[in-house]
This record gives sequence, structure tokens and C-alpha cells, in this order.
Amino acid sequence: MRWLARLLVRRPVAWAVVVVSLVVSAAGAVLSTQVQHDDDLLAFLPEGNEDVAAFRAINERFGGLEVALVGVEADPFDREVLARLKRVTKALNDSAAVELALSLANVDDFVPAPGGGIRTDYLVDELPKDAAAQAALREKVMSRDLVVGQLVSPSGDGLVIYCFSAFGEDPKVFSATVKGLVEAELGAYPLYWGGAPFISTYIYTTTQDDLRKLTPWAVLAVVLLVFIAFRDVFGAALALLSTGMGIGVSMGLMGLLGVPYNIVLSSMPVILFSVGSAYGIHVLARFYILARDHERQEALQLTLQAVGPTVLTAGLTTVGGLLSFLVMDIQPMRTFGLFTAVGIFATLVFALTFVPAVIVVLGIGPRSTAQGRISDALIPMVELAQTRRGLVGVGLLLLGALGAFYAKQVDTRMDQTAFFSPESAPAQADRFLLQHFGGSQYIQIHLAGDFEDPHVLRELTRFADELAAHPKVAGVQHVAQVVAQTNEAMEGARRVPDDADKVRLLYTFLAGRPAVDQLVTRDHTEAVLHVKLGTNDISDVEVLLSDVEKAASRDLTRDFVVVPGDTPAGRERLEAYAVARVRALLVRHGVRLDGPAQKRVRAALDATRIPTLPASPVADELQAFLTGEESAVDLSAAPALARRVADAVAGLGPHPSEAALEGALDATLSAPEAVAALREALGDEDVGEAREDLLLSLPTRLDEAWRRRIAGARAQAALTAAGVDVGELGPRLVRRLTDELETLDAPTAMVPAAGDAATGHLAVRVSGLPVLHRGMSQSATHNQIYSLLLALGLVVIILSVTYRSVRLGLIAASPTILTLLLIYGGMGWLGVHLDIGTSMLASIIIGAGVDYAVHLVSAWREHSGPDAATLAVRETGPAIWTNALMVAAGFFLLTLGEARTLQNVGGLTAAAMLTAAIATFLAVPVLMARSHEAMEAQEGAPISKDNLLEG
Amino acid sequence: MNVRTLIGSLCLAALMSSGTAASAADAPALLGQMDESLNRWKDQYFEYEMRDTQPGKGDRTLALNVYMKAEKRVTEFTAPADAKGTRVLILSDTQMYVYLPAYKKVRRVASHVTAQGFMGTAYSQDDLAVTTYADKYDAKVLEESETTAKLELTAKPGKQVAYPKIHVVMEKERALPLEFTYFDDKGTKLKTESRSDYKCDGPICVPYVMKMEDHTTPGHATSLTTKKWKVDSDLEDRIFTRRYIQKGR
Repeated sequence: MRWLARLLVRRPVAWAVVVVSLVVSAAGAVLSTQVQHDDDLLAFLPEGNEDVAAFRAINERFGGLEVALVGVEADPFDREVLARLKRVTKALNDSAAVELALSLANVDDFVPAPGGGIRTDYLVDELPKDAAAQAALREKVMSRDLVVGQLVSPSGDGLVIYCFSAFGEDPKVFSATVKGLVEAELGAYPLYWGGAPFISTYIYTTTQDDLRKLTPWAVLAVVLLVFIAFRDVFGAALALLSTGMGIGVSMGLMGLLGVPYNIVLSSMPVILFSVGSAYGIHVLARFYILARDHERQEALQLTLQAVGPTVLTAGLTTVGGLLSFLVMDIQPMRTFGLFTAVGIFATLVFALTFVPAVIVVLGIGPRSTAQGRISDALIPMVELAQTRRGLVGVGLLLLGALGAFYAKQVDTRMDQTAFFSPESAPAQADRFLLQHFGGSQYIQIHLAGDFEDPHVLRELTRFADELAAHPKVAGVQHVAQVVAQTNEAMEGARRVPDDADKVRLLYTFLAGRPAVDQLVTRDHTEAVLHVKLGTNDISDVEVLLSDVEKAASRDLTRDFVVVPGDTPAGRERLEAYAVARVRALLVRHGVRLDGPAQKRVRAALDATRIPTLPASPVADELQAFLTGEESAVDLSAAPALARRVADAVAGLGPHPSEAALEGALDATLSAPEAVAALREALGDEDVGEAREDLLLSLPTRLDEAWRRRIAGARAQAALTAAGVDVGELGPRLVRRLTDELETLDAPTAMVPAAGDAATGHLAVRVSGLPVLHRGMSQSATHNQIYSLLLALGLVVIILSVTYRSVRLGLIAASPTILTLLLIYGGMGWLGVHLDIGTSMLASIIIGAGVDYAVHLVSAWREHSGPDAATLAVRETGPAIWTNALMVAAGFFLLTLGEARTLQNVGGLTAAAMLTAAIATFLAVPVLMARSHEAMEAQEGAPISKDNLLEG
Repeated sequence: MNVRTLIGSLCLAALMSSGTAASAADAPALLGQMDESLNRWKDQYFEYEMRDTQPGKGDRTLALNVYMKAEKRVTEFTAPADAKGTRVLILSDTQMYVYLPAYKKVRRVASHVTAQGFMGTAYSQDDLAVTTYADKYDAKVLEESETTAKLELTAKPGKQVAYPKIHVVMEKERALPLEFTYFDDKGTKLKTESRSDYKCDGPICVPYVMKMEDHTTPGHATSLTTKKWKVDSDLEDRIFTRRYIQKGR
């Protein structure tokens, strides 16, 4: 330092330093313009954590992070609302930023067509013209159980528009587009903005806006405090200039290395201005004092030799604290730690070179500062700590113990509240979705297997039914529901078909639909089951997550073989499936089956497995088919013949043999009146092929008709056994049960199998936001422990090396340790969680807070005798307090914004800096007095200003 | 219902016939000549390959054969394997039947959902259903060169059309469309369809390569390549029956 001091006081060298510093900074400023912004909030997901990695992979594959939900609090059946909904849905779908917008206005629906077959249309095909039409529309919409609770609230007072982002679209652009279009049409109604794109955009923009708005104020507060403390415009400007140059160097280096700028780095100016400007101020303050009694060059040499090592130590400890971010598992945090450390180091170098050089170049002389009153206030505190060392020491220990006690209660918990306040837009959307749609959060269960296999789809359904029975589960969505719904259009029953060929065919019709892409991959080997949570309470969510994980490991069949459905094992499996379906459908209608009721239902299903039923309803159905528009043989012109054929075939019962069917047809068609009727209905040309065509098309219809009748009988029996009054629940429930109970006749079923015997497999992993939060909590804990240990270790090493004494190193670190205990104790007491933001605290507190003790201890070492403490306080106290207030003010201003993370970090850091300053003036005197005596005895002579010049 | 949109693939072929030259920059006349050139055949048979490309979702290829006679159309899927054997019969705008081989049955399907993509492709039924323009749109010439003309088509008052405005670039000599650009009512460009590689059999020409680019989903495009084409080959009436689509013969 002495060598540097002697060099810098030479005018040519000083000029060179000024020029080089300015050129380097200017180059940095130019290079900083090349720094790219990285807005990807996913980059903040921790690396290496299995839960987090799985969440990310699942959501990237299934597009879960690309869906925005717009809640509309309005009457969904109001003509004006629907008209606006139609317009906005079209506008969203026409936008390049939106791949698909799905709402009540454009959801498909299909119903049996009057002439046979199906009629597909939009569920809301035309706007209701009067109250009666409105009531009819309400009845129609509320009968669609895949729409209610998804697009329309069960209470009929809210809507949701699902918007799927275009591939690769910036979430901010996507969110702004959706918001703009929706507000233009539906701005008169309360709107709620949910889903990952809105949440990430909210977090990013509020943080960015807060920093943009508050950073100038924070810097202004720092400048004002510097000016008030030192009443020196030049000094304040010079200190700030050197800090600005440090920022330029850091940003320039990022530009040079191609490192992108992230949202955490936005806080770098506040940290550098409040922490880094202290270095220059310490140099200037000491120079102004020494320049009163010494010639400028001598005063400058004395200044650098006296405070240079101290400033260097303080700067290096801050650098060490920031470098501890490098052990974190979050890339942007590491970038923040590294380049903020670079900025601090550059500021430190400028404080020790550029600032003295400017003093020389500009010929700055002594100036008076207003630091006396601060010293006067601090000296009694230090004297008290010295004279009542035991009492103060015990008091501090008790405080530390109390802090440690409460610090143990700090909960590492990551949930929505870590990122936004209860009144924020995402929180409001959460509440709207919870109140009107049963929930807003999802647990995702990722499954790997063959989702073209109907057995796997049935198992998925059964497992989903188990989950849906949980009282805190609001609903479950999975691909088997979509397959079942599409199958209804083809087969007439909303259930998973029995045949893999049918499933594959259905998938071809569903290809390219973003809503389906969220449920199954395009090769149908992976699927996600979305469990909607009926609670936002974090404790309930944790319990529910645990229950779901247990269910996933216990209830899902992972290894299986397929057996005939009429074997005992197959039959048992199909019955279990049927009971699960009955239970799930009744839950949806507000009826919960207890254990005994489930047993009764199962017994009823077993008893009605092959019920004795009259054939005439089946014949009615076949006759309608033969005279309708779907038969290959059009007997609409021969209804009597159609009836005879229908009676003959229906009388064979379910699953007749081919020979029996041929016999029945031959007996009917060979009759002379039948031949004549056929000839009249079909013409001579087609009569010859009529038998063949009937044999081709009738078996499928016959099978379907009988299955339907049998399943209907089972449905009635199940409801009777369950003790449910069918009349109240209506024919819709009976119809749905009938659909599902057709599966009891499935030709095959899956049963569990072990080891090599298994021919099919299912792999399962529970994920979703609650699991992500758990992974992030683990990361926060990991980051906290490792960065704290590294920061403390680096600081103690730096201090021990500087003072050439481990004891003094520990003494200088003690106020920071006390501060950590008190701040974390405060967090525990106030219920502030440890999260991604607050996990940064320890390193910042250690890095910046230890500076005060460094200055005090260093100054103390310069003096001897009973006045050593007083002298040290007079020399360093004002700068320490000014700096503590500067940092506190800078960070406190960050709490005035909307971003929850900045509020926590800003408030706690501000409190920590003030605590660290107070702790310094109490803990150091308590520990230092004894140590100082010992040191003097060991070293022989005290360190003083006089011998500094000689040294 | 997506199966309803199969109708569109059939109508597409109707857009591909061609005719004689136009000589003046009279927009309605040019449009009328284009309509006439597109509807000159009695029956047609096509074998198509349809390739859909969407960013982040990979490519998909469909293969289909199309039979057309007057209003009647039959579409038969030959690839992918999952859809192979699926046949669609359209007798009129309100009469459509689909045969699903896995279900071994014919279903009658009536639909008014026409704006969705055909099996996830950039073509919608609306894109494919239109075979004439002069009856639905007023035309004016935007640009003209020696060989081509660019027309702006604006929907006639009261006409229900999928796109209120269309820009058509057409070849004047044979009155064949080369490019359609579709706009919404605010003038936003929604889709662009190109038709190229025309091949002719006498006065009837068809594009062997067509491509639809969906600007509402950047990067999403579907190309339709004609592999085989027969025109006026006296297709039998029995092809256009429910029995045929069930039996395939």
C-alpha cells in the first residue's frame, strides 16, 4: 500500500491512472450495450434437483407453462356476454401470439342427429334471443360435465378462457396480447389473469418496474446521506463516480463474455452504490482529516497507508460474501454473485487508485465534515460496552441465543406467497378460480406407458377416480376422458373403447389439438394426469401432495398382464373398475359412497352380470338402424321387413355365433314376401348383396344394442344397491352409468403381474407446482447453508490473514454472526419464510455487514491505551453509520414497490445493516479490549499514525 | 368434429381445374374466368400426400385418395396406419357419412363446425369448401402484369363467407389461381395458400403442389402434393354409396 501511495502522489502517474480508469470504464460502458437481457424466469429453477428437473421436463413436453387462464366474472348465458366472448375468442385465435383460445364460445359439442348418427356443432351455436332460450342454453351447457368446472363455473356465474401460447412466443408478449384483446371486449366485467404466462410476466414486470422506479430514488438517498454526512458535494460525486465506473466495468465484462443480464442483476446498482461508494468515502474522509495537518501528498500517503488495507479488507470481504453465490444451484444467482463481486472489486480498485489520483490531479485540499455529532453519540455506547463488558456481553449472548431460538423456526417454504402479495393480480386470479371453479393449483402426475392400450387408459381412469374421491381434490383431468368423449361420438357410449385400434383411430381425429397435447404426447407413450386442488392453503396442499404420492405408489398398477375378461381375475378387475366409476360419477353428483355401499354396488353388479332382459327394446334399436341413414342396406322403404329382421336377430340374444346370425337372416330374407319387399326397397341390382351387407353391418349394431340394454339394467341395479334416489339425479346420471358399465363386458382386463411375467408397464412420477415448490424449498435450504458457510469461511480467512490473527478475524466477524442470528430470529418470529429471495440474505449480510467491524477493529489497532476505543470510534464511527444508513436506505426503498421478493430482501437487508452497525459498536468493544491488551503485549508496540509513515 | 372437416379435402380438388385465357384487366371477368376454369371437369380422382409442419410438434404425413363426381365425394385414407381404411362420403352439404374400420360401422355426421383445422393441419374446411368466388365476392384489380393479375375480393353484402377479404394472384393466360391470401375483417393477414406445378389434361389443369401457411400460428404450414390424378374417367356411381365406404369395393 505504501508503494502504491508513493506512486500515486506523483502527478504524471496520477494523470495516467485517471486516464486509464476513465478509458477502461468508458470501454466497459460501450461493451455493456451489447449485453443481452435474459427474461426467462425458468432459468431461476434450481439445477440438479430431481423434483424441479421433472417439473420442468414435464411442463416443457406438455406445454403446461404456456397456458394462460382468463377468468371472467359474468353471467355466461347472457346474450351480451356471449356475443363479446365469441368476438374475443375469435380475435385471440386470429392472433399470431395465441395458438388456441378455448372458451364456451367455441367448444365443440355433439348430440344424436334426428335422422340417425351424430350432429356436431359449437356448444353455443347461436346467441339466446330471449329468456326461454337463455334458460335452455343454461340447461344444455350445465349438462356437459367436461365443460362445467372447466369453462363455466358450476354455479353458473363465471367463465374461463384458456389461451395456449404460440410456440416460442415471449410470455410477456403473449400475456400482453391476451390481456389487450380480452380487455377490449370484456373490460366492463371483473377479469382475472391466471396461469404461468401471467404469473411469470407479473413477477418479471413488477420486479423490473420496481427496480426501474426505485433504483434512482435509492441512489438519490445514498447521495443525500453522503452529502448530509460529509457536506462535500465533490466527495460525494467522486465516490459515486467511482462506483458508477465499477458498474461499467462489471457490465462491460458481461458484454465481453456474452453473459446475459438477468432480473436479479437489476438490483446491482443499488448494492454497488450503497455498499461500494463507502470505499471512496472512507478514503476521502480520512484524507480530509489528515490534510488539515499535513501537506497534500503526505496526507494522501498517510491516508492510503492508514485506510487502504482496511478498505481493501472490507472490499474483499464483500467480494467474498458475493462470491459465495457461486455454490448456489441457480444460474442467474451465480451470475449475479459473480458480476456484482466484479463490480465491487472494480469499485474497490477505483477507490484506492482513481480517487487518490483525482485528488492529486485536481489539487484537492482539506475540507471540514459534519461527523462530530455522530461520534459523540457513539462513544458512550462503546464506553458502556467496555466498562460493563460482562453485562453487555451476556446481554449480547442472550440476544444471540434468542435469535438462534427463533431462527430455528424459520420455515423453508416456497409457495405463491413468496412471489406475490395477496392483493396482486395472480393472487386474485387464484381466489377467483378457487371460489368459482373449485381450485387453481394442480398436482401433475406423469405416467409413461402405452396410452393406446385401452387397459392402460382404464387403469388411468380408475386411478383418477381414486384421487377424485379425496375430499380436497376438486377434479382430475386425463387423456382417457377425451378418448371416452370422442368414442361417444363413434360408438354412442362415453367410455374407453375395448380395442386399441379404436383408440388409435380416435387419436388421429384428436391430433394437433393443443388441449390434447397437454394430456398425452404425440406418440402416446407419456401422459399427464392433472389433479385440481380444492384448496390454496399451503398446509392442506402439503398433506394432499403426500396423499397423492402415497396413492401413486399404492393404487396404480405398474406391472400387468392382460387376461380374458371372463376369467375370475379379469372379472374381478372389471368389477373393481366399474365400482370405481360408479363411485366417481356419484361423487360428481354430490353423493359419496361409503365402504359398505361400495360392496353392495359390487354385489349388485356381479348379480346383474348377465341379466335376463326382453329382446324387444333391442329389436326397436335395430329396426331404427335398418330404416335409418347409417345402414349399408337401406330398408327405410320396407319397415315391416326391417322389423322382421330386427326381431329375428335381436332374439338371438347378445353375442350370437356367426352361424346363428346367418341362419336367422336366411330364414327371414328367404321368405317370398321378404324377397319382394327387398326388391321393392333396393331395386334388382342390390338385392343380391343385401344378405352380405347385413351380415357386415348388423353384428356391430346388435352387440352395441345388447350391451347398452344390459348396462342400463346394471346401472339401475347399482343405484338401487347404493341407496341413491335416481329420480333426483335425473336420467343424465343413469345414462353416464350405463356408458361406463358397458365396460363390464370388455373382452379383456389387466391384472397385476410381477417381474418377467408382466407384459405391460406403467411408470409414474408426481409433479406439479407443489412439488416444484418443494424442490425449490430444498434448493433454498441448500443454497442458504452452503453460501452462508462459504461466505463466513471466506470472510474469517480474509480477516485472519489481514490481521494475522484468527482471534481478531473472529472478533471482526462476531457482529455479523450476531446480526445473522438476530435477522434470522426476526424472520422466525415474524413468520417470514426462507425462499429464493431471502436465501440471498446471508451472503449479502456477511459481505456488507462485516465491513463495519473491519473498520472499527483496524482503527482500534492503530491506537493504544485507554483512549484507543474513543479514537477508533471518532475515526470510523461516522463513516460506519453513514454507510449503514446508506445501505439501509437504499434497500429500504426497495420495500416500497410491489414485488414481494424485493420487499423481503430489501426490508431484511436494511434491518440487517443497521443491526450490524449497532452490533459492531457493542460486540467489538466487549471482545476487543481484552484482545487488544494481549496483542499489544505480544507485539510490543501499539500501532499508531506516527509509525504508519515509517512502516 | 374433425371428421366433418374431411369434407374439405374433397372440395379441394374442385379448385384445381383450369381453363382459358383472360385478356383484360376486368376484375369480375377475370374472377368469373377463374371460377369457370376451376369447375370444368365431370369426375376426378386424386392421390394426395399431405404433410403438416408445426414448430415444436414435428411433422405429420397423411395420405388420401379422393373421388369426385358432381357434388359427391369420397375420401379414403391410406396413411397413417391408424387412419388407414377410414372413408368419408359426402353426398351434399348436409349428408356426410364416415366409415371407421376399427368400429366396423358407418356414422352419419352433420356439422356446422367449419373453422377448425383439418386433423390439426393448416387447412380448415372453410378453406377447402369454396369452389366458386364470383358469386360470393366483388373483385377489383390491385396489380397487373403481362402474365398475372392480383385481385382483391371483398365479400358481397349478406354473403356468409369464412374470410371477408381475399387477395388472389392469378395467371391470366389460363385463369389459374397461383396464390390466395386470406384476411379477417380488420385486415389482418390470416393465411396464405400457394398453388403451383400445374399439370393439364386438355383444358383442365390442376396444381400438383399446394401449400397453406397459417399466419395465426407462426411456422405452421401444410403442403398437399398430388401423387396421381385422373380426370373424366367415368367413375362409377356405386363408389359414392354408404355400402362402398363400408366395404371398400
